[in-house]
Amino acid sequence: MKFTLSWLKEYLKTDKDINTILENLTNIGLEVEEYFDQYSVYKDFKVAKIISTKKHPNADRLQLCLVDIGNDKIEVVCGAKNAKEGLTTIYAPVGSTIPDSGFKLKKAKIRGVESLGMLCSKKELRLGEDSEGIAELSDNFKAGKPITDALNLNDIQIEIAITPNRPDCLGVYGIARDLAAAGVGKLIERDKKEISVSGEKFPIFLDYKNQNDACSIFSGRVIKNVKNTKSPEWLINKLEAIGLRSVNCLVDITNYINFDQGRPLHVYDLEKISKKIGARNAKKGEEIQALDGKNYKLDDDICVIADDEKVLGIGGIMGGEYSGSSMDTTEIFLESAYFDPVQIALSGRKLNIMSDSRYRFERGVDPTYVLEGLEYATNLIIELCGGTAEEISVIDNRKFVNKKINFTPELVKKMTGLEIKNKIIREILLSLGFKVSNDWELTVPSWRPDVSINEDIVEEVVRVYGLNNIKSEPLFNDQQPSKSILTNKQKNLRLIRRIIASRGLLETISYSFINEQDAIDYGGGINSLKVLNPISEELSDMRPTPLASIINTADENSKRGYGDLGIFELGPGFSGKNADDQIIIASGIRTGSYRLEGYGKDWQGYNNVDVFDAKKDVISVLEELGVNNQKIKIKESAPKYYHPGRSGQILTEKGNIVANFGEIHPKIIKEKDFNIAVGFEIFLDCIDLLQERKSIQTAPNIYNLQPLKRDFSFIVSNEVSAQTIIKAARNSDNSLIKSVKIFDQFLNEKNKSIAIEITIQPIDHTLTDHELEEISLKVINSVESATKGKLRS
Amino acid sequence: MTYSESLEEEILKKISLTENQDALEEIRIAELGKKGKISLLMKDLSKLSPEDRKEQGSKLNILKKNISNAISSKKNELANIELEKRLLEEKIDVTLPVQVSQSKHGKIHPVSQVLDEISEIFGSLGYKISEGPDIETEHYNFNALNIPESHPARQMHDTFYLNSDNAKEKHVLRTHTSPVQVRTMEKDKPPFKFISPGRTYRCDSDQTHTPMFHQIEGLVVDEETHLGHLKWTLETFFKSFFELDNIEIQLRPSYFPFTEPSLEVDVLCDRSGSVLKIGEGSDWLEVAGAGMVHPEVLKSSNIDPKKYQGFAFGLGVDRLAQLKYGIPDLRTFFNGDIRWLNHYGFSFLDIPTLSRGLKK
Repeated sequence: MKFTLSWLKEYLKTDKDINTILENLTNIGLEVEEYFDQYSVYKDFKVAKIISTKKHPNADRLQLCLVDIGNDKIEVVCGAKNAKEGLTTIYAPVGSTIPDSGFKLKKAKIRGVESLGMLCSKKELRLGEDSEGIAELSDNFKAGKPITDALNLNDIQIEIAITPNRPDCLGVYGIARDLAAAGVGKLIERDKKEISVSGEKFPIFLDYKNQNDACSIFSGRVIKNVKNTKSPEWLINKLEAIGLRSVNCLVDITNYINFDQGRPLHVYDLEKISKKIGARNAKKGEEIQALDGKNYKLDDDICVIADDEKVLGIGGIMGGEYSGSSMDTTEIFLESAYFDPVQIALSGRKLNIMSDSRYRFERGVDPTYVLEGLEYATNLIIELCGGTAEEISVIDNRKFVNKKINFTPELVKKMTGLEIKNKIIREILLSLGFKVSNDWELTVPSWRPDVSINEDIVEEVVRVYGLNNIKSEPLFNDQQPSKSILTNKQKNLRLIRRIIASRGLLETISYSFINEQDAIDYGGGINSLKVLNPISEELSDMRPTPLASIINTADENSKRGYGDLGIFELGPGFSGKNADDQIIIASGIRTGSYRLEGYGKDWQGYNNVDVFDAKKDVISVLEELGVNNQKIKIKESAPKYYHPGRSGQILTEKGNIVANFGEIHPKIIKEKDFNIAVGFEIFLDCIDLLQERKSIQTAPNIYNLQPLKRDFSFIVSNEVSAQTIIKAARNSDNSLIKSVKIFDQFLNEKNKSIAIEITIQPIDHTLTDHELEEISLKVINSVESATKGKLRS
Repeated sequence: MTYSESLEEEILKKISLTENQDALEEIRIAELGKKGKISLLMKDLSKLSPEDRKEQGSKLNILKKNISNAISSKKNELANIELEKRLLEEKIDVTLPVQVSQSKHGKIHPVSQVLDEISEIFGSLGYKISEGPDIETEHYNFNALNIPESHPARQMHDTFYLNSDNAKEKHVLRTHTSPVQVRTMEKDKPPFKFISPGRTYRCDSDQTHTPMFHQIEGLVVDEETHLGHLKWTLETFFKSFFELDNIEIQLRPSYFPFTEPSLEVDVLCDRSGSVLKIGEGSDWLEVAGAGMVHPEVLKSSNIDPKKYQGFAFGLGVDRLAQLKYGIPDLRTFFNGDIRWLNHYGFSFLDIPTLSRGLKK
């Protein structure tokens, strides 16, 4: 909401300086976003007259202008086509700052000729949008006159952010009322002139039917013999100061009252209205060309203003092109109505039209100001355009009654901690326009649709009293020193992040949405996870896994010349819309030769990453988190975005997925800037179940007897996995065999030879040769039967 | 052959001239071996008279001992020479560069680090961490927070909608972390004291907005918590977070449908230099939105607003990270440029704790 200081002062008598006013605006919740002090910005600029022009000796498009600036005649280089003898324009001297660019003028040679300052366009001075040529002023202005005087640029423009609950401050009068309540000055009531009325009531109707009463008050009157003209200077200046374009006097008056009082009005050309005017439901399929020049198809829940044959406007949102006023208009129907906020919001959104009128109606205008606004506008129209007003027609189905609230003043202290005397609370509420009875029954002013409960009143009181008076009061922590606040899952997440980083990977955070093709490639892309209004096509689908995001991140880095890298992300992956369909996945990727040991060419030799680098990352995490490796198994091959022969999946005994790891499928990295990538995904939800969390440990088993090691070598089919051999050996004697290690493997075409080392831990006696022989036999039998292989002789 | 003084000299000389271990061994066999000179002389002793035998015997014993010592010390000497020679041959260029494990190159993203810092502070104040889904129903994201369908505030949110196969329940990407308030409260009974960090989404993208960003929500609900407690909590938090004693905050009235009264929180800062400084100067910087929980929100969570009240606040995590660590451009947070991650990222060992201080 924009306004000027002088406009505000029409309604606020105050001797406070501008800074106090700005500070108070913010303090009462009308946050000052910007202010523009015209005098300080424009004080250096002067009216100038061009005496003569000649061509610049070194540039075809430039001219040398001899300029009269009052006390002197100087030469200025100018590139504008409209610079010619006799033109009155604006001169910026050396040392002044051009408002639009913030550029400070210095003495400068332009193509070899010295220019003392410059002649400015309106755009450069932020005095208008016109950037074609230099400003053209009225010849009546004397050369040398400061433009602050000539153009009346002594005001301060203020822009405040109005929160959606404060429609009462969408007019300058309302802002003045709020400032007055905060003690910044005294509210000045507007003079109300009596209007002499002649003629008849114009026939109106109110025929809207739906759940909500879209239009509950409809009123208006005819004014005849008006002469629509260009608006007077003061009105144009006021509108331009807040960024509105002057259209014609009738339209300008309604716009002015919209910003002055927060009361939208509309002027119809009476000639275009057939017989009567009123509000009704649109008929399905009806169309209207609105004032923004666009054609809108209407629906039957939209409230329109119509005569007995056609639609004239979209009620409360925008008038129609056809029925609007023009310079030829001599008879008008002036409308003032009350439209329901909910219905306006829904219609506005449906038709996708924004207007100053919709903006006010959907926030809630003062329903008691309908007729007063109409009178105000009538007065101004008669004053500026002449004419005679006829009787007001009005249908009021709303019969507005002010809200009542039984207030408990003790609530102020209870909610804010502030001790404010009841007397002061009462004064604040009165100054805001509330009526307050002796037993605190409050009558809410008609312009405050946002106030309806006790808490709202508390807000009004502290807002005006000053939120900054609130004193800090310690909220004691009853659990000092505090115990852990994290759940096991939250602990795991934090730990995993740091474990993965400790393996040389950089943590990234990427958007949760990716493009459709990627979503499909990574097992997603379902319809219900598509964003209806994505910010770009690249961000259209909720990702099934963060892996899909970070591969692209890796690619972008590769394209910048960093092809060997490791990155990871701990973030959500989505398989559906429900809360349970979102899981946290720790995903990592290594490209090129980025291994824990080092990367890039090296004299000691180097290798590209392989599936085992990814597996090491996963196993390191699981081991550090205390996952019992007896409770997990590895399935060969992972989801389709991994290399089918070089990937694996870690599962719980029940078959839940703990992690995927492997080489990324060559098809996926085909288009990328690296030739190999390995990655992993760890699913946090599963891990908690696999952990043993004991605060008190049992005593460790420390044996006095030395462990023994025995080696075996088996020939098995290539189909047999290492995991099968280890498991078979391990399970052949669970009490004595402590570990099984593979230390060698030879691959032939069909068979492979696997060498394992068994560690045997004797418990209570030294094992005899016979006992050792028995263990060996058990290992051999178990492995041979599990693998259908043979001990190598 | 008999013993003579010259014999010892002669043998010692031979030993001292020897240059390698093999020759030395030959000498040992020739002198001390079973058929060596000294052994033979020993054997010959039996032919002598008892007196001579005794005298010659003791001389021969000394001779034998001296030679044997001389050989073993010569052996050590030769072994050392040989070792030194071999070691010199084994010399390698130790100036060759080595590869060091990549572990120290791993880094933690500033947002994660700052979230850890925030959790640490609120954890010490007894807050739990409560989380909710990124894909929300309109109910939790809006309606339950007192933002009905027609509310103008819905437009302020620039909401991302998901494709809806049934129009009854529309899903959105949550526009704030506030839905977690309701989700958490409806599952449990008051009092409540928790924070909810997470990803939030708005259909907006420019220099200071990214379509995804992080928020942290705080909520305290009991029978008497009021705005004075909120002010203390935020002051305490900012002091601890920025590790500054001179934090000054200002409360400004504002509007959020889910709080009443609503306010915005500014911290004092200095914008005059090239780097924004918190806790000095005369400018104000908006850092949080807050207020007393709206009775309608309590009702949506099945809590009696006549008995319970409390405050809620929301902080922008990315922005806090920008302020604390001087990171200029928000967009760089989420594009994964490894040069940026390396520069602004934190060591995995740098775990923020209050006893250590949040900053290393």
